[in-house]
Amino acid sequence: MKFIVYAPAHFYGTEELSGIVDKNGFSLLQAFSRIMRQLGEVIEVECPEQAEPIYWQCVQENRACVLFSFAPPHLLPITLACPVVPVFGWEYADIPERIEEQCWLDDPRHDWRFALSKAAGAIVLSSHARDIVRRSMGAMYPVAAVHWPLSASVKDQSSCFRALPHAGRRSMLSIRGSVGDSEHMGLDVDAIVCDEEDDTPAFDPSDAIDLPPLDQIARHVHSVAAENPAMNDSGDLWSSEPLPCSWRMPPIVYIRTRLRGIVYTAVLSMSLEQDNWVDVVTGFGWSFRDVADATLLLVIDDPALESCQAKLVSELSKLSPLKCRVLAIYGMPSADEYAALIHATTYYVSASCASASCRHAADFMAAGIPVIAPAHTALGDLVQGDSALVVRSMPGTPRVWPHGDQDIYRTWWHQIDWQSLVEAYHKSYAVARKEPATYLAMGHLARTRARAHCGPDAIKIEIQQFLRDIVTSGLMAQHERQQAPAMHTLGMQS
Amino acid sequence: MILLVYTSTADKDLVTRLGCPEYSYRFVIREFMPLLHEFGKVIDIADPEQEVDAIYASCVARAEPCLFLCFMPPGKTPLRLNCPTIPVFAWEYDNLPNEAFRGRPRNDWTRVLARLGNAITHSSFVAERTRAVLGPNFPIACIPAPLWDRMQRHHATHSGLRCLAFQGLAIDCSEVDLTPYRLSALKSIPSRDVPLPPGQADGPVTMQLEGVVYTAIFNPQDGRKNWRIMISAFCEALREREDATLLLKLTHRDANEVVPDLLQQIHQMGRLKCRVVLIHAYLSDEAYNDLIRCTTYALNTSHGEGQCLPLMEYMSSGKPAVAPRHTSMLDYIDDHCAFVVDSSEEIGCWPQDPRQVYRTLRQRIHYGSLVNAFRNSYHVAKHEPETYKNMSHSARQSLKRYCSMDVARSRFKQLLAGQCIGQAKQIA
Repeated sequence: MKFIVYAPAHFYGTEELSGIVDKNGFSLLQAFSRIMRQLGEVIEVECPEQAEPIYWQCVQENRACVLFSFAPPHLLPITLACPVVPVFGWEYADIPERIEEQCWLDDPRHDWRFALSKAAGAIVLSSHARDIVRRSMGAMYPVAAVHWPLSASVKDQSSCFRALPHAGRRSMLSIRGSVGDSEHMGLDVDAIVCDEEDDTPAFDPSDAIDLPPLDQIARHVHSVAAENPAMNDSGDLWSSEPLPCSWRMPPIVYIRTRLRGIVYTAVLSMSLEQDNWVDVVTGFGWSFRDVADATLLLVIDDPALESCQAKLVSELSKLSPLKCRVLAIYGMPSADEYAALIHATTYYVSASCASASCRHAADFMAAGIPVIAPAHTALGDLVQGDSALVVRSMPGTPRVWPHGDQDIYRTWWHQIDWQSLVEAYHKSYAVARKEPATYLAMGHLARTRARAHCGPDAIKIEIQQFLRDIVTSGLMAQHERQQAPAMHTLGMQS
Repeated sequence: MILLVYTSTADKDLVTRLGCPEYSYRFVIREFMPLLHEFGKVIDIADPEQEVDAIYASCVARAEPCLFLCFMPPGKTPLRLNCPTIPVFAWEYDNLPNEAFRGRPRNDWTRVLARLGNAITHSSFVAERTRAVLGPNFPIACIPAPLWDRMQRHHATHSGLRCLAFQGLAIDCSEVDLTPYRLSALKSIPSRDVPLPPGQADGPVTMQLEGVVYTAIFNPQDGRKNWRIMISAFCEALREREDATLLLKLTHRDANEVVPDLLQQIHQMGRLKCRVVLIHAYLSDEAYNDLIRCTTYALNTSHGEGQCLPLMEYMSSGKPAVAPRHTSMLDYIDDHCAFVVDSSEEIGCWPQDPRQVYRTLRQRIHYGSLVNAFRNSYHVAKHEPETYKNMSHSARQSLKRYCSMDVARSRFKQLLAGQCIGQAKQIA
């Protein structure tokens, strides 16, 4: 069996999205290739046309060969003799079925039904996407939900079960990267520039005497400095606490810092609205504004990293003063750092409005980390009440197609109940602190579920089954009759 | 007894100050006037610092009680008058501003209220939130604008073809080309620079309305009103219903500043058979009442309400509502008189805080629940006249309990009793 794999350079027309989605296409290709190598030979091509000579050679050798296009159907190569299978994640409520957008008029593939009908079948990253493809293509269409395979750096820690977070536990974060630290941002609400005309009453000096502060009113006290561990407490010369930073992305340096208390980690993009980073941050900041031993670790995977620090500083300024701590790591860490980061985490958190895959949630869960997340779209495959604190979400918020004109709502995604997110933050903190058995049980179930869905063995079986399905399905058979040799070896080690 | 009243918008300037800070306090004063007249002579003050204490001194001289009711946010209420001052304020957030931001102690309303020693607000929600910080015995009365009795002159009719005539601007979105207002076009031009649709200008308007009419009255520049979700949910729910109308009456002095954004939101909903009508006009009492008569449901999708005068007017006159049940609406919205829209807390800012920092909570409206409320209410209006009638009756009754003159009178009397005892002691 030959697997030809290909990820196009541009998924979406809109520039602001292209960067991140490209990257996901390539990351997805790499993740699947790792598994596919166990099933046959994998050849990566830079353009789909390069698949043709390989295919014809396979025909001569009577070997099975499929081109996997790691991109949504509107980018599917449809003129090849080689059977093609798109592999994609989709988080919206439907697939595009009508060419209503101006920018789609010249390409019939924007009706995904047309593109999918030209494919030998499709692999999607969630049962949500599988169901909507089936709804559009019919129950017989060969579409498989194969989850984003677990990151290679996620080690099976079943033999060395994670230490429970307890009071005073401080895990060390060591990383080479650009790290923004809320305790080094100089956050100050009074430094916020107010553009709007200030309509509040003018200052009257005697007000200070006539209006003394009320003692009984609890106030936030800015006591961050006292909590802030000294630079270089590890004594290492090559690493330090995060540097003082402001609106600009901090420089890339070696950082070594202790994380206080309960550590929440989210991997997200600030440019993708569906990642809903503002709810993640405001929910955390509001829940733990007076709690020093809560840390939010944001791993920001974004095509426009430069602008992310400014967005974060702005949002954190509005929340300040904060006793809890927010650390932003700009850019995906290396595999080892990612693994260490998972190990340092108490809970993975997502407030997604629509998830195309449960990639990062699965990585954390597989390491025994419970999640705080809504149970919809791709996350719905993993997030259940026994291994997660489920954030309430409501379906139906209207959305534009991400790769269309952006003018008219054509689909929808989910709305997050922010109050429920805050409740989950509070509850998760209490569970980690006071209910170790519950925490461990959640982690255990998280690990089991993530491995069952996204572990390499599970993925391998899913892919094999899919290959058998497309052989037996009419589409492949049709393709076969027209252009290809017998495909009886599909799915088997060639 | 002399009752001095003040707000920053003079009665005569209201038309030109719609949408300006605190403009709506003038509407509140108008509703309080009949009540206040029952208790004494009412004097509308133009400049509190100059006028109030002079009048108060003459009252003291003749041993006549005198009170100053300041219809303003506490931060803008005079603090050092000799005349007993009662701040009358509207509020709709989870906590009172309790920070002296921008270095100004008056921005901390808790300090202001502690000094003034009493207050009137319009909802039990805010009364409770105030007592939570100033103590359970802090004298704060919940007195909504007593408009229920006034609305009993208007009897609810909503079926069949209705005609509405007024002077102003009306844009029927089914009759104008919305493409200039598409989002991608407005990204490159500030929306206020996009002209109104051709042929749309102030003038005499005669409008036919039929079917199920939802009416909302609001200032689109008031972020609390959350009107985008109102438009999208209506259009989504009733997209195919030719006899469903969303009528938005805009309370803002300049149509150009607000209309393009509304048209953009309507355009974004794609092809519609239902009708969305924007009215920008200062309606005469007669036209205003006609609008109520033409309406099937009063509509609200706010993040928070201090009381919501239009909703109270419509419901008092027997219009059931599509509205959430939070903040002041906790006092009068329930399943008997409204299609209740789900909501839950989200982070928010005190609107007057120029820093716009997160210090409070407001309500996030659940979109799907709003869509369902539109569908259910449409069905009831079309097919369940008895249910509609019962809801209409319940709306009237609920608002009677909330904002009738009887309710306001007894609460105001109670507040005055405390005040007058204080003053009597002071005069003695």
